Amino acid sequence: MTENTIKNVNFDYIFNELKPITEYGVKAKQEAKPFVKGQEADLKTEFNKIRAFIESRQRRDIIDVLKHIKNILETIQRAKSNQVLDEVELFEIKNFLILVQKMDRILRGISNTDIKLLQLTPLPQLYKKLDPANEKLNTFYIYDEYSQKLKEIRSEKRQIEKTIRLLKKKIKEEIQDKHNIKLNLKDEATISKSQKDKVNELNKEANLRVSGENYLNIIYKIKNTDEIDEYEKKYEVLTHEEDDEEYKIRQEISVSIKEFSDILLKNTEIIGEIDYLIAKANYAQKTNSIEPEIINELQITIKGGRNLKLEKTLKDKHIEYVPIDLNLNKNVVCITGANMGGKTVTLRMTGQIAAMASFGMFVPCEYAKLCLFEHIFISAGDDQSIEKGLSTFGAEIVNLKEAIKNSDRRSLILIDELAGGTNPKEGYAITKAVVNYLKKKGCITVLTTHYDNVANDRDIQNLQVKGLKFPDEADLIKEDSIEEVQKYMDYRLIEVKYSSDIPKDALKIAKIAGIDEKIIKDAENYL
Amino acid sequence: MVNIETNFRGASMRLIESIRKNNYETVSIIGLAKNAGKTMTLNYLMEEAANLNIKTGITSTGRDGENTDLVTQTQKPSISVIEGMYVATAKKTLMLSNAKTEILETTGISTAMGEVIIVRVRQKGNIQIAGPVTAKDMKYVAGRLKYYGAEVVFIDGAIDRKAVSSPVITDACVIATGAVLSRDMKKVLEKTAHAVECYSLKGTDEHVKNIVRKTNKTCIISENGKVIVPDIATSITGGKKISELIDEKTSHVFVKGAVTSTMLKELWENKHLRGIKLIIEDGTKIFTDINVWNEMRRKGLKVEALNTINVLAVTLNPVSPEGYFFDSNVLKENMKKVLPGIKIVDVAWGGDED
Repeated sequence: MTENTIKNVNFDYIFNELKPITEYGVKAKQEAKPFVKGQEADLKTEFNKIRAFIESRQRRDIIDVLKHIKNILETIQRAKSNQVLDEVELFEIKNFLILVQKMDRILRGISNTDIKLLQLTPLPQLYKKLDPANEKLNTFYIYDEYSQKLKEIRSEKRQIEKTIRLLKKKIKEEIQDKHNIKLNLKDEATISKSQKDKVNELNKEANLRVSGENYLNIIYKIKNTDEIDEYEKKYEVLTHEEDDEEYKIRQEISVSIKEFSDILLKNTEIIGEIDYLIAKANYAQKTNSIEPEIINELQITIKGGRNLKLEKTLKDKHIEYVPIDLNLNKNVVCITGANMGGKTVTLRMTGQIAAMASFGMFVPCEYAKLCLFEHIFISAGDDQSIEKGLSTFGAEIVNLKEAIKNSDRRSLILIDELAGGTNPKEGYAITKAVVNYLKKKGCITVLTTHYDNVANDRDIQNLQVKGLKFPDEADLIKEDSIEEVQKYMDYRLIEVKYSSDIPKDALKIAKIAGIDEKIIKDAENYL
Repeated sequence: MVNIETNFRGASMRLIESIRKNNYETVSIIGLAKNAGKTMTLNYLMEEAANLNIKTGITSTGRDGENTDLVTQTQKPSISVIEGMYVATAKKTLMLSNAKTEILETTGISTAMGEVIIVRVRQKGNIQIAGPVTAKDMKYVAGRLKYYGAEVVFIDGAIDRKAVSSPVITDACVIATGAVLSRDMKKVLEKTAHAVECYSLKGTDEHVKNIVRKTNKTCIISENGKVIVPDIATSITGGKKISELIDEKTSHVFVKGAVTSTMLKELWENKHLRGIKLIIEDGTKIFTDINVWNEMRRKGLKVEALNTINVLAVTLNPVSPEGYFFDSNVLKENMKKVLPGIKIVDVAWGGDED
């Protein structure tokens, strides 16, 4: 599919609606490739997995787990290049392992053979390294249990801390009692200079020092005793030792993570796949889509097909979408019928369903049977290349060239109103010639046309829009809105045989929409 | 003085006790200037909480564009944390901390300083705190800190001209002020009283709130409920334009974002303003000259806030880093006089009186 086709069959819209939860799922979606001819069995397996997720009540549980899964690819990469991981990274790996284990348990509860292919590998041996105390909590700390040395350092630190606190408290109380002053939380006291005796007294106190002074006051602060200084120095040394020991521990764990990095990475891929499959399952359910039957023969049959983007647009306007049946039995199918009869929508719907199926998605219809195409191709009016400066006809020709180039392969070619913008004589000639060319090829072509005598060919299937429901009464109705046409339009397609004439509804529609009566009358004179 | 003390019995309760008594779960601390003692207040409150075995959580409002420079330039002061405390801070600051912490959650909220991580302190130490930037993230983080066990969450707050200020999203707010505001104690008193007055503005009527919240832009509201949204880039530069649109039918004027002296003067040009209520987002958005503000208020300017702030206490730091300091008792007594009914705590000297 070209960019242009993706847009024109609204596949971009649909693909955007697929919303994996994890970054791995997003990656899986981004890297997704269409299934092509020859991969029918793989596609079947993909559909089985989606169906299994739709049917299993464990889907909700899996989604809950997915919501907690973080991207650890960078962390794994860092471990692989021998970096020492920090606590937050170790926390994330630990959580990943917990979630993998949880998901593995849920997956085992689904008794579907295709889901069994999504095999996660829990790593209890690695998990143990991240939970040495066997606390089974999803938090992380460099636990005392990592080493005897760490445990000892920490216990000694606590002891010293306690000693210092007691010593300080004792000195504080002594000073407060001795000098009858109150020291604040920062062990400071402000004394007015007018209290000369007090100032003299405090100046002599060995355990106090002046920490601030102005013309009014002096601030005194408790001084550490040599004993406290000793303890604080020791505490400092222990802290360094503790840091070193923690580093060593983190290093050891990082090495273990490196050893298991391939399995960790494989797990992220499988999680991505599961996430992407569940996104497809969710979307299938949301859009009432079904699993298409994939066949090897060149064919498309669609019952009750819907174009999801248009359906959404109409729904927002509270208008009902009319699903379309399409049963193609010849290589070239010509859709004829009234303006505003949904011919272009049918083309887009067909392309969209073929594209969704090839990307392993369920399709929005009641029933679908189709083959895998190597190419899906559409040429429709509102083409991007027109924006690039080409005229309507110019863009069509560029597209047509591309289509014809691929017509020897198994392609789905969708053409809307070929040469509709040029003079009718040449336009007809081109259309007829293209149809003659394509009907001999091994691809499916669906085209819409207003030209007479294109569809009346034994080798071509002609489908016609049923058209306006009350053509005769239309004279009586006067509505000044183009939207009203929808009320009277029957969008369904019926097969017609060898009809050379195309139904002429354009004037009726113009009339319903409220074009001046005089013009309509005048136009009738020319028919 | 004795009378005042007895009249405000509640005010004689220790600050941490009144937080608990009122069931305030989130408390923001705002400094009126750098070195006004915000960090001291935080440390003080956390120490007080620890003494009463109250489990606390702490985070701070980060600011857009904060980067690693901030760490080295020590713009954000270190907070001392002790075992059992809960902290939410950006990864970079956490990695620089000498406190030992247990990682509880990686929030997925990213800041210029890295992802916000929630931890429990296992060994005391100092930590710089840089929390989430947006109000929504802040609410989430505060909620998580409570979830893990914090009974009170302190937010090292910031006021913001444009975004949501922290006092608005917390149950209560403590204002830190101090000698650093001016060498002249009178000025310190005046500035502090002004801030408290602004923060304590009363909330506007529900129906006006609804109109304003729906519009969410600077607008002029008429008696009949008609709303005009002036075409201006910011309220700061749009004073004149707003003034032009005010007429005798106008009942309220809502100004989004900062309120400046120039803007107030421009608005005041319109004679109809005297009967109109000026609605501002919240008290932290007032950046006017005190004299201009006081004059307007004397002349009858009516101001109400969309979001109210609950000022719980004012903390004092009588010491300025420039070397000068006030007599703690004098500052405190004077502050009590200008702010009757508000709890005043000198965190640098005595803390709450015993």
